Amino acid sequence: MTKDNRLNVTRRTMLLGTAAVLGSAALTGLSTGMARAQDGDVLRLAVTGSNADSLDPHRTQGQLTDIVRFTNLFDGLCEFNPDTSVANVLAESFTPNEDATVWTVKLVSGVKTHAGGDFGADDVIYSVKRILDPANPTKGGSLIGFIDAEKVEKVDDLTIRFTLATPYGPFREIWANRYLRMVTQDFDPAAPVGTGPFKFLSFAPGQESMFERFDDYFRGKAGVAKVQITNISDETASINALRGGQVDMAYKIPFAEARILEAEPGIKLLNNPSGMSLPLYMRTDIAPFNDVRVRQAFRLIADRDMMVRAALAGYGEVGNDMQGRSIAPCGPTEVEQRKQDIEAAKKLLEEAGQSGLSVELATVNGTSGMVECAQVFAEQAKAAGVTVKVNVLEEAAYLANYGEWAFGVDFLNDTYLPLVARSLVPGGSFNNTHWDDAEFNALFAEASASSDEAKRCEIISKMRMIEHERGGNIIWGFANILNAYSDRLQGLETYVVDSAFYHLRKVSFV
Amino acid sequence: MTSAAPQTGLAVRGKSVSWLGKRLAASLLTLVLITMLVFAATRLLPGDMALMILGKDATAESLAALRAQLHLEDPLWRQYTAWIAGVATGDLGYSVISRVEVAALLTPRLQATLSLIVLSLAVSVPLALVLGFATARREGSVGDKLVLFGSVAINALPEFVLGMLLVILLSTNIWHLFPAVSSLSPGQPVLHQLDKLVLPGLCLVLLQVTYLYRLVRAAVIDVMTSEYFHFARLKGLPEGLILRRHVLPNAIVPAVIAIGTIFAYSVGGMVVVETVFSYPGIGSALTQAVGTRDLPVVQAAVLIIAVIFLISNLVTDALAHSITPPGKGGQK
Repeated sequence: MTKDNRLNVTRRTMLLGTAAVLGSAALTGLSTGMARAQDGDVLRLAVTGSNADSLDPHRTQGQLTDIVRFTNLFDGLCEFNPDTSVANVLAESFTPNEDATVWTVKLVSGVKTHAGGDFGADDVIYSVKRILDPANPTKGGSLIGFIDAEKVEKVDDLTIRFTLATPYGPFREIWANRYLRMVTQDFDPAAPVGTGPFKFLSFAPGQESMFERFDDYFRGKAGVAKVQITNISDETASINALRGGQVDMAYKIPFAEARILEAEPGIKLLNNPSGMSLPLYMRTDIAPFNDVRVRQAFRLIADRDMMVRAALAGYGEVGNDMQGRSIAPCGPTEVEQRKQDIEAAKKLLEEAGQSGLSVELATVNGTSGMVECAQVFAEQAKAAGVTVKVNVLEEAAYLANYGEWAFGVDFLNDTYLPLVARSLVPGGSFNNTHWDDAEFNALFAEASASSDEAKRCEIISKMRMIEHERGGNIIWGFANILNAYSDRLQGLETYVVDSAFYHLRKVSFV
Repeated sequence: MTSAAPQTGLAVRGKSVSWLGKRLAASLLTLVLITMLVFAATRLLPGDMALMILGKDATAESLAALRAQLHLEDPLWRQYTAWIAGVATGDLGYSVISRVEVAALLTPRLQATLSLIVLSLAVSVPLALVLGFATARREGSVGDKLVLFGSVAINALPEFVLGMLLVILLSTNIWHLFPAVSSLSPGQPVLHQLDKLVLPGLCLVLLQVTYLYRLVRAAVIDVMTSEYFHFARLKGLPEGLILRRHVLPNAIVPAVIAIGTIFAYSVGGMVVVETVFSYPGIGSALTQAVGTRDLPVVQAAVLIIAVIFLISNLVTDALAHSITPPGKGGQK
């Protein structure tokens, strides 16, 4: 009897203990729920970052957390509209001379900095010199390499004159790039002062940062009082945080999860028709891809609809072996859509003496779809008698040979001319195809020198036709960029180049 | 002292001290070997630290300059001795990716990991003891079989599946009780953010209890079938006394060893749980650092994990050594 009693006590204690644990757990849960309701004016974001995080808009490695932070702390002279067209921000006007070698930039007056001062020409000159500092190479520096830092002059407090060595037509457009944000003089990344819609409160690299609304923002106050940016590297974890109400916006949504999220109550999907292509690049300077027939054969192997459906879960658009999903303000380039044609591909390979070709395709688990598109392509190649061995590498290993792979997958997202500068002409750091086409290069130089928009569009159209005809990339599709957010938010727009995350001043609670 | 001589208290202590000394020396040697191994392994990884820092845009000149600055072109032995010399003076170096001191980067990570492990063990050890005793005494009953089945089922689940189940159940889909993501707010002590520890903690507790309790149960059953247990019963000793005097001392030893193993393993080994809940522990810091080739962080993290592993093994062994009853090979 005693034994049973004792056992009962034990069991009872255990049950009581369990109940106590669950009860206190429920209470903690309730209290967090209440806290949640109270700080409704804090916009909380889940973004992917790393321990390399910084608050420096120029000397950054370009991870998303950094970009989201500095695009909201600092303004550029210009910014992207939701399509690829460009709007002025800190700049009021850009005036070129006759041959586009001297550009006079007038700034908007009355812009206040977070420190309470006036933003002016000296700040712009300081920022440009900082971006071009040869001792600290920056991502922005490679975009405005045509500017001589010594030839940026102050005309008056709100006017700057840039004298260029060679003509540069799309001078205004380049300033919309996110890596060309303006800081204030004597900038200190530890206590960043800018002109942006939010000002700095706190920052812990790789973890969390907190900003508050800048009440004197020259384009009107932001819609929320505070912004909290949390680093969450795991995609699933960031979706869970959104589902559980811990964050209001999540940047990285994998394609596979999108359909499920779209159907979920309380959550909305932001489906950005981004200009991001995932090209399969072929090195045009070495065998077998130095033979244009082999390149065309590979382009004919691709069943692009299938690749968009399988690698991007349908969240994307078929490509036609030309960069630029949108080349606004220019109109579309009229070229017939290339489709899968296995017979034609076989014939071309036979003519090139490369029937039964076997190649290795290097890819990396970078952005969603990079591995999947390679696998789908390898499957499709079998029909043409081509063996494609997909080599999925770890990022560091992929980068170690970057630019050397004969056949690989990359991703690029930019407007057309900057993208060409970086990836389709000699000297571009992303020119993986090692493409050096005299006619194409000449057209690019001409387009860069022209400040006449209509003429520039005409040249761009010709350039894209050359890409389609003999380029080194299989541009099978453009991937949408998917974000998700709580339906308690409003003011989020889809962007081609930028992101709603870079324009948080427009976001507010319903 | 000859082997035939009776063991005095002093002799026993002397034996223990020499045992400890040997163990310490062996641990130190292991540690040195580990540092060498890690150092060599990080250098063998494909990829280049300088390239990871500067990115795809890097020029050949800037890469060469950075490599020189990071002493990557120095002979391996010189890099190693420079690092060891730093470690000996308590300097773990700088993280090349974050540009902060490695110690500053890893200290909060280590605190987070240790807090979670200690808290989870504080719950699971008593729970496992209670459960182990209770089920052993009712061996073969329906309740015992149910608990056993449940524990095997939970243990068989991969950690991320269990983690996701908990998230779905308690955070996102069924009940919204706890935060699904446990990323800690910087500048606040871990203990002030206990709500964020609940899900990863619960996940660990479930894994620990289901494993520990079975050890306790088996040990208790083992004792309860022994002759001395029956003898004690026949003597008419009260049940509580038998449990305290005979069952507990025998059953606790495997549990203590298991707890030590769980602790040591968890410091570096709960990466999956850290990832599922986005918990900023030292394991995920290590995996991230391997991905970005932040070698000073990799080396320091492995060193810390190895030291904790060795210390915890040493403590566990010493503890087990001292509490093992004489009948099971322990000292008198």
